[in-house]
Amino acid sequence: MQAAKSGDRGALDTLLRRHYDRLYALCRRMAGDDADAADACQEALMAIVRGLAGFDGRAAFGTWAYRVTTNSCLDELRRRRRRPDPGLPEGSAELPSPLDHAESSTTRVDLDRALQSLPADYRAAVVLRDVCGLSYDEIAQALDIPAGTVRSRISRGRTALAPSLAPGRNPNPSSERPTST
Amino acid sequence: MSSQHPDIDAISAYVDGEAPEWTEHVAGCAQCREPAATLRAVAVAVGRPVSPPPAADRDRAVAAALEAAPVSDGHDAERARFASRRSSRPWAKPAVAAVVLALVAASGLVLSSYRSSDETTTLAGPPAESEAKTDAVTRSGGGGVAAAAPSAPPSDLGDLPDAATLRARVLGAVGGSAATDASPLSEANARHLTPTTTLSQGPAPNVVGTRPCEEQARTREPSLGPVVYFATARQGQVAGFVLGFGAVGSTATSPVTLLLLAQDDCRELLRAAGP
Repeated sequence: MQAAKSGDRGALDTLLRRHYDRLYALCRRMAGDDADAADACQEALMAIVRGLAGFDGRAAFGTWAYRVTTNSCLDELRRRRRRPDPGLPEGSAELPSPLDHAESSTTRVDLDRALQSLPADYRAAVVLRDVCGLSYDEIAQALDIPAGTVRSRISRGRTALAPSLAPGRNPNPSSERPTST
Repeated sequence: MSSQHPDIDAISAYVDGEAPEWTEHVAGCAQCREPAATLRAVAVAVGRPVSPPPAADRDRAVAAALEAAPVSDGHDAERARFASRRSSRPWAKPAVAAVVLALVAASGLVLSSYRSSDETTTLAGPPAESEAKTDAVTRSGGGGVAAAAPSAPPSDLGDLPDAATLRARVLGAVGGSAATDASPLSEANARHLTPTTTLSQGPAPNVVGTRPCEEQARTREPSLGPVVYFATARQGQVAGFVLGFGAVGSTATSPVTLLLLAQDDCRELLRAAGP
């Protein structure tokens, strides 16, 4: 880490490759498609390299890298909103990706669609928890928000996703159950 | 078990292990287990592994990031790398110290033997000023030639049949390999001279005392300036010394007088205008 911070390109290369897959997973779930995820991840790596000198080590490097990457994703999503959507070719949603070994194209599209339906701030909290496995405190650091806010964003995000991802199940079956405070 | 149900945020946190205070309640409450199971199913769905990105994307992203890296002078990285090596090699310090001590001892021996032989072949006594200059250059880390010269024999220019060859060999020795030759030029000469430049006119800092035949040459030709070059050579079977003299009051671009003098009686064998 010290070598990478002081500009050793070999150490930097190793560091970036070691974290790339995890950061890409965050980008993939945040962006919702491969191309935007690759763009966002590349931007994230560049931001990490540029900001590495300022990384003070108070948080774990992984947490800090997730924070930088989340911001890069949010920037990428903002850019995407500004550019016209070319739309998907008919039937493309059903085309299996040759790279898609981890999930079927159908569940992948469902998941992508469901996640994209969430506000970006909620999506970030849910993805950082469920994809990256960060604790609530780490998510709070990464997103620079209080831990209580993390808790409510994850809860509301999951509740909103439930009809798509856990059909037939109701996360809030009791009319007496209080909602978040 | 608490009679009050946790809110949905607390159940979600419970699913993540972030609300252990509700563990007992949820375990015994069917009304809370159901939303907990739903939220867990959502979490599992979201957390499904992402397909690995194409290697080309990874390579491209890493390359772009490295290009965006601030330019380092390399010293920090070297220092960091050296620091990490040092910490993993506790034997390094004593080993380096031992090597340094051995080198110092060896150079001392060679230096003393060189000076002894120099005194036997030098016609005049060693001027203190020249020695002081030599030491000053050595202490200041002035470079390989000045530091190494006292322990290095003068370079040999081989057979010099004529003045043109003398000039060419000196140029070759100075421009080609002055730093490794330990040819007795000043440090500045060694660093800057090329076959197309001129010898600088300052006294050679590595010249300890006068050179063989220097005094005889000065007697014959009092206008000769300081010695800026010294080597051995021969003309046929006659061994000789090559001395390069600057002119008195000369400038950096003044020509140097190159003389090949016979070792046995210091007679002049060849003369050439230096570079």
